[in-house]
Amino acid sequence: MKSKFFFIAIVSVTILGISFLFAMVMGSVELSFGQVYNTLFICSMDQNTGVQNIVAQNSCTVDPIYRKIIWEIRLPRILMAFLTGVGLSIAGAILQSVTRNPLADPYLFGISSGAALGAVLAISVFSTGIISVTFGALAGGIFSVILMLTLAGRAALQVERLLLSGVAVSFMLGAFTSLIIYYSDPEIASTLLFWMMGSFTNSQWGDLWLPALCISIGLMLFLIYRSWIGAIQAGDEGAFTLGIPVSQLRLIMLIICSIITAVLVAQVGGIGFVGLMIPHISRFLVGSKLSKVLFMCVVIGGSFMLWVDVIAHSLIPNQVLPVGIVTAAIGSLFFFVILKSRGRNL
Amino acid sequence: MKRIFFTLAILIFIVSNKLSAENSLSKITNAQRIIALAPHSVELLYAIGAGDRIIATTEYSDYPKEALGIPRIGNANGIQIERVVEEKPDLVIVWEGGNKSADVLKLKSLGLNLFFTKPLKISDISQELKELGNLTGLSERADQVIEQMEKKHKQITNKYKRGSKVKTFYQLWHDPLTTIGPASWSESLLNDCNAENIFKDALSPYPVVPIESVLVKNPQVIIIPSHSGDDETKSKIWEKWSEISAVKNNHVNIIDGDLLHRFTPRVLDGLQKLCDAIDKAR
Repeated sequence: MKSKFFFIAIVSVTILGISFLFAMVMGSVELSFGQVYNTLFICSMDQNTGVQNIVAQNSCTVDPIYRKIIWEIRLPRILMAFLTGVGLSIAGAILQSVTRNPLADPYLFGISSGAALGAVLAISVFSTGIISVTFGALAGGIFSVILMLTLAGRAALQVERLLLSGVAVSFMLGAFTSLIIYYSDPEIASTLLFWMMGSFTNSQWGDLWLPALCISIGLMLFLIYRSWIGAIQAGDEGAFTLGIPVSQLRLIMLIICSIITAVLVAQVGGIGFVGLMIPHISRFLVGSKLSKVLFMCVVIGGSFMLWVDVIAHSLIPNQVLPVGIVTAAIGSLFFFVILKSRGRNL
Repeated sequence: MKRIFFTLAILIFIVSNKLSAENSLSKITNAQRIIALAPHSVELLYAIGAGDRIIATTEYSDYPKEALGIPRIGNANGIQIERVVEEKPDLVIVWEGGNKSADVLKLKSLGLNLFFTKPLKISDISQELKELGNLTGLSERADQVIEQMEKKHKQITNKYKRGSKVKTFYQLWHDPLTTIGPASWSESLLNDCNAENIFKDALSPYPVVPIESVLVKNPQVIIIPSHSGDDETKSKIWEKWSEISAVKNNHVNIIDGDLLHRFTPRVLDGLQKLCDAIDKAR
């Protein structure tokens, strides 16, 4: 059993590496592996040292515009795609475990609706640019979780009520968002729609650290508490008899997942499906042990998003597709394939 | 079998309805109660002297100033159909692509006299002025407007005909970065200025494009039509890309979008500005 996991882990990590390579060269502008290698390892050395030595000048053969495309556009974009895949997948896996609900996903508690409302407000009401879309979305996402917890009150300690409160908040904020979009200018509405369907296009280096930090801390906490989470997954009563503070732990996990999700949604918009399906796919592959599932979520979620980004940029020449559309389309097909092959084994 | 027959009957009914609607338009020679569901149509009617016959219009119909007094019965999100019927118009001007298609179908099914407008190039405006002239009995005035327009149009195109084609990026919107594709209104303007749309091979009329493609295509001029929102944020996205020839040589231009995107004689002022801006990069 252990060797099987080992095998799957090696294969998927290799796939992740290959995905990174392909994400670097593919896109609306086709580059060669040589150009990318040259840019990342040779040209950058020239820039860092600033030495105009003849050898280095000869070896750095890439046009400055391509170098800039790789450094300023492509690298931040694919790193953001990777982080998004990782963050949403692990948040989804944890939420599915602590709520024991296979349909739980990071947007369960209305975060995407809250973030969308925040973004909409930032774009249309404060259109002067005082509040950036990212900040608006982050504030909105956090607001939705706080709102949900306040409205649910003590009910938040019970799983079913917690889930239902999330749904209610989601619908409530969604209604406001629709209302504002309905009354805004067509161009602003198109910005909002594109944002809501998700995109990595605007990712900058400076945007990466916050999601990376939140995901690392979250992942660490999930791993530290993995046995407790596992006990809750098996049933509240059992966990209770083991002396685990069930409700508190669930709330804390919910808040950590919400923070990860809110930070990501603020940067890249609402990208559905990943947080719901990648945990299931991981469980199909490696069983339900939480540490293995989390590991697979990181690897599969990350590579999945990298490919989604590649496809979003290269499916139609000279045009970008919203990431959310590609995610849902490929993801569902992928999932059906796995479901079928699993069915045959049973 | 019965079902097929039934479907056929409905189809025939729809087609005949459509034909009869088109036929009835040819009988109108002196429309007095006009509903214009597009800002540019309002402007065209004023231009030929039929502005006072407009009894209702949509939001954004703000030119000339008198147009602001016309009652509003809808916007891009929808038309209040009941109001249209209540006003008993003898002519309704519908904007294909601008008005909601469901609304247009409904208006059609109500048997109203619909005139469709969908200009894709400047000569389409002349054609439309001519048809509106016929419908309102103001052909003479319409012909005068057309003559002036065509003269001015010819002047502009002749002036820039010579010289090289200038590679131009037309930035319709910055987030998501949206431009114009082939067979769009704005591309016809670029062609009139002897400029080349760098996305002339795109698959849709208004494609969302990656910034990478713009960098590689290296436009000599970037045109930003201003509408809503902050113009500075729209041009700011280019600040760090000094490799692009348009940015390096300071040929990023913001031009009044109302002049460029309204299908009226005023577009020639916009065209003049557009061509001047492009010509500077030659």
